[in-house]
Amino acid sequence: MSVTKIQSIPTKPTAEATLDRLALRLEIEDFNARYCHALDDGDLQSWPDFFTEDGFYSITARENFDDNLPVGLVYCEGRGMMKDRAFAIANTAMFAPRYLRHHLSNTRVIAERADGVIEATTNYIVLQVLHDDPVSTIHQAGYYVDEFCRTETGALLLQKRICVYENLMIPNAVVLPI
Amino acid sequence: MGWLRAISVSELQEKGCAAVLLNGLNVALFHLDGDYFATGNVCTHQFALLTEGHVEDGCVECPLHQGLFDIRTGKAQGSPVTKDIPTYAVKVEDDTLYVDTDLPGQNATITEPEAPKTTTTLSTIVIVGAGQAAGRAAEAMRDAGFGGTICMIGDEASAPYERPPLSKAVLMGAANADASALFSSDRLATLNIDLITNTRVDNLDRKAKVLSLSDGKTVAYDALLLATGARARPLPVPGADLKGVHYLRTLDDATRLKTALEKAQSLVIIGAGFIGLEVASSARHMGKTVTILEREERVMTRVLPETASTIIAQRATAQGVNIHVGVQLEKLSGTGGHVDSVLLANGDSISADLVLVGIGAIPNTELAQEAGLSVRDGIVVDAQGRTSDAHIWAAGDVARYPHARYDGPGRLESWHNAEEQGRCAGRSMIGLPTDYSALPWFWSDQFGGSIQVVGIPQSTNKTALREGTQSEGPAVFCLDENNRLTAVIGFDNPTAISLGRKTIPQQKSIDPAMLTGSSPQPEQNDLEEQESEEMSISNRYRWPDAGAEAIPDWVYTDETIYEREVERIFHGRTWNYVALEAEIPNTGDFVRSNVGPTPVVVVRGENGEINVFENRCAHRAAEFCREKRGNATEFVCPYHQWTYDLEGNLSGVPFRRGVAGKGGMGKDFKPEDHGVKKLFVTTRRGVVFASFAEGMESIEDYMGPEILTDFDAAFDGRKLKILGYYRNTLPGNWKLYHENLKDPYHATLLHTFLVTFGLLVAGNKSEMICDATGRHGTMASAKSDGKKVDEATRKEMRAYREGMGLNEPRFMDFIEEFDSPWSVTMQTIWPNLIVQREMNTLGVRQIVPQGPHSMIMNWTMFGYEGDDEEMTRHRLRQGNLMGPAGFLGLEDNEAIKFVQDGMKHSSGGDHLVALDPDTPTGTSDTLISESAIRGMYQYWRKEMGL
Repeated sequence: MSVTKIQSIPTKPTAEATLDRLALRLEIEDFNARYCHALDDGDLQSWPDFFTEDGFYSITARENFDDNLPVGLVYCEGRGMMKDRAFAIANTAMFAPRYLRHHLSNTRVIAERADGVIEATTNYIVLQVLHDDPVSTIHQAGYYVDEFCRTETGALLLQKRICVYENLMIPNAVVLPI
Repeated sequence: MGWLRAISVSELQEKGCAAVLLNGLNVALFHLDGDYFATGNVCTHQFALLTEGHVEDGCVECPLHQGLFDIRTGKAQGSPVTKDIPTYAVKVEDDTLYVDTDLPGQNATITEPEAPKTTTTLSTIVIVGAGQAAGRAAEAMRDAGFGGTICMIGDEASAPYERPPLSKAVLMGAANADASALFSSDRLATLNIDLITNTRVDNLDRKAKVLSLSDGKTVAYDALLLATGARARPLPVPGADLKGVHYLRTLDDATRLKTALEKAQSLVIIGAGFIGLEVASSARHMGKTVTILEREERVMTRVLPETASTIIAQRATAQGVNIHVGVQLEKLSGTGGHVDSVLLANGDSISADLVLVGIGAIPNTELAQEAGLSVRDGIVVDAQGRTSDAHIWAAGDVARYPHARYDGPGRLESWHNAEEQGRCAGRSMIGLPTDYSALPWFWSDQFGGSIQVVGIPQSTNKTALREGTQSEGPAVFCLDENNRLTAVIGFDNPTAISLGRKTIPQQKSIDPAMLTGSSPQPEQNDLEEQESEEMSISNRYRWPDAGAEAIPDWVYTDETIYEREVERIFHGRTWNYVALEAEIPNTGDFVRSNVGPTPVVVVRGENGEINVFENRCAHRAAEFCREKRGNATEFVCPYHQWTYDLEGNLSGVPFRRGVAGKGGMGKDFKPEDHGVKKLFVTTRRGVVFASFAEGMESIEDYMGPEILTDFDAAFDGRKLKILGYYRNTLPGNWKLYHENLKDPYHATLLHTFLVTFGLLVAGNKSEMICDATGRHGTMASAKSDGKKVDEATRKEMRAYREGMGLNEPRFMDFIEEFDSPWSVTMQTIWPNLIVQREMNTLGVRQIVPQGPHSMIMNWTMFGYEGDDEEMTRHRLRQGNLMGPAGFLGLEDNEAIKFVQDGMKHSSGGDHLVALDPDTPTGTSDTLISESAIRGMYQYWRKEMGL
């Protein structure tokens, strides 16, 4: 597969290339802002809509990711599984009430593949506040390993998102998607 | 006889207690808080008048050995007294107290809180040996309601008897054999023991659980107690087989010695131990010439420090005993086959009509040894008296047990040990909580005085001497290097012994001057404080009266309880999961793991064996292995570069010999003594377990057949393929995780996911399976057709609630691959492993406790080599059910946290586990049961001695 790597660039890029690169990064950041809003404040049921029909989503520890161990805390093949999870979390799961808030940074476009797929990573921290505990704690700290594609109308959609967390221990439970 | 005038009330009020003789009986009268009481006045342990003792807190203390009796009820309050004294009715008329010795005291019917009764299902318990430990074990079983057969096999002619009188009263003719019997004939009859006398046990077949006897018969057992005692060590010099050379161990020995002693004039005793000195005392009492020959430089070298030896030797010498120390024996010589003199290496000859040999005892371990039990100068047992075979216990002189307060295990040859350990083993055998941690106590009556020892003195101990006074003899206090009291030797000095009993367990540094009386005694308040501190754990932590149906909060929240769990459970006789073999396939492959909270390294050694050792440098304790996993040829502590091989042996110490001849380790430094601590290791079907305890039963015996079946269904011989790890903290007590998986009641109530989507439907076959001990469990269920979800069931699932079908129901498919009637088994393998076989998603979970309030769960998810990609992905998809983000897993974690929160912040109380009373403990075939939780706590209490 032919891949255009966007890496540290030895010579000064053209202004146009720089603008394209920044525009793509901003587009991804904008996508992620909407994605996080859906999880933090919005409608959990809309979360699967950020993915393609056959999109893949998982949350896994850095130790697994680095060693190519495939397990996921959450492991969804396709939007159907994501819908089942969103429904189950909203309607059947028992957990203590909480606020979660995502903080993203350092979005980096790694590659734009010839098939149009955009590879990118973004760092994240998710803070959690339990309603009976005044302290806000780091629920997860890690980074997204993403593959985006575009719809017919040109909008971005995730065809793959792996949330790689680096905190060794999950504090008790991960309830909502990251 | 009716009412007899006993004393004037005013006289009794003035004296507090008084001794009277009524109707030929020694009666003690007490004035206590305005009331009057009459009891028997003779201690039930040895002859002494209680009124010469001490009254405190409603109890009278015997002056001789500090046995305590409740004055109101006559109840014996514990060792050394076990038999109650009688109480008599009293009445006051005018100024006179009357006693009726035919009527019991008005309070005699006050009953103590009911002791727990056994629920054991064992039917035949066999005891090899018929001594004191044997007798007390049998008695303890009957007292706890054991109704099965107790068979006791002894190689002597008599029923259990006590040995202390043999060298004293029996020898001097003051008591006959009956007087030393452990039980009266009436008591013996009620105990209903099948007693086989004059018979040896020649063979123990542990597999068949059968004993072969010297008369050719066999006896089968469900549980076995080895109380085979010890035998006298034979004298290894020529002439030891002459007539007139005696040993003293059994009633027969005593009778023979008594007869011989009556005719003899001179007695030579070889060995200045307790037996030798007591016989010397008796023989002097009978007017014989007595000489003691001792190989060491002083008497009692083996067991007492020099200060105490000196006092004993002085007392014996003062009574006319000749003591020769530092003596080498050449031989015994005689005429006509009868000994007449003892020849020493220096050429001296001492004439003797009789020789008594008292040079120690050898534990009778042959039967155990030949049967392959763990034996090292005694049969190795744990605090419950259990040997390396889960069905066999040992107690008394022959048992090598872990002294709670001393370094390393040991044996104790004493009346008190036989008494208490026997009783403990008996209780343990029938499944009751026990804990043998009694403070060792010993007494020896000799030369008109009584020597008592509490604690275990070491001959090398530092000592402080308290001089005798007019009313009491001297006392020797033994202290360790930190000035902590380890033992007290009192010579007619009950005060010092009593101080020792209170102070030794505290293990606090103490000013020796305070002990010897050269500085003021501690204030009364201090003493009371000390008393409450040393109250044993079992007194402080009282199980609720509701029994098995209640679990008190302190089980989950208390630091002391947690520390005891680490010591007794995780570091005790358990197999702890540490890794899967698939994680470390090659030599040098390692993972960091834990046994309880303790970090260990699990590594594949040079020879392919798996080694587990503590992750703690022998030099400065650094946790040297920092990588979660990897491959190593050796382990180097980064701090000072101490190096360990793959077995944990110390292989390198930098600058061991110093630099330029200066510094470095001493010449006597041996690296082989300084490896890291190694654990015992076993594996089953690719699962690795480790234990701090020596002589553990096999992992198969440890799990038991009920659990092994389903364990083997998951680990069915296919090689494992690691799919990855989850790790989570869980702010709840570690036992709550076991309970969650021994609580099928919660499945449909907490996990509404299952119900909402119709995944757990009525009619699903299920069972909560427990092993015989109650520690392990398997929560099992089967899809309604027993195997696979068929189309009809799937429709039922979809239709369960309108519009609530799964978009991707295939993730709940069960692909048949196991030899098991169950589609789901969740196994709790004590104390730290969960084996998850949730249809096709498989994993092990390791519990790492982090104090009473929190634990870590390490999940290792796996499939099998040979799984194709689709099967692996199916396992991963199904993995959404479990783990800290699983539909079921997250709810369990949240619920457990809620339980701990409930205890931390509430006003406190007990948990109620009363479901399914028809199944008190163990396996249950209804979901609506808590019998497995009750069974687990029955076991836990036993292990914890609570």
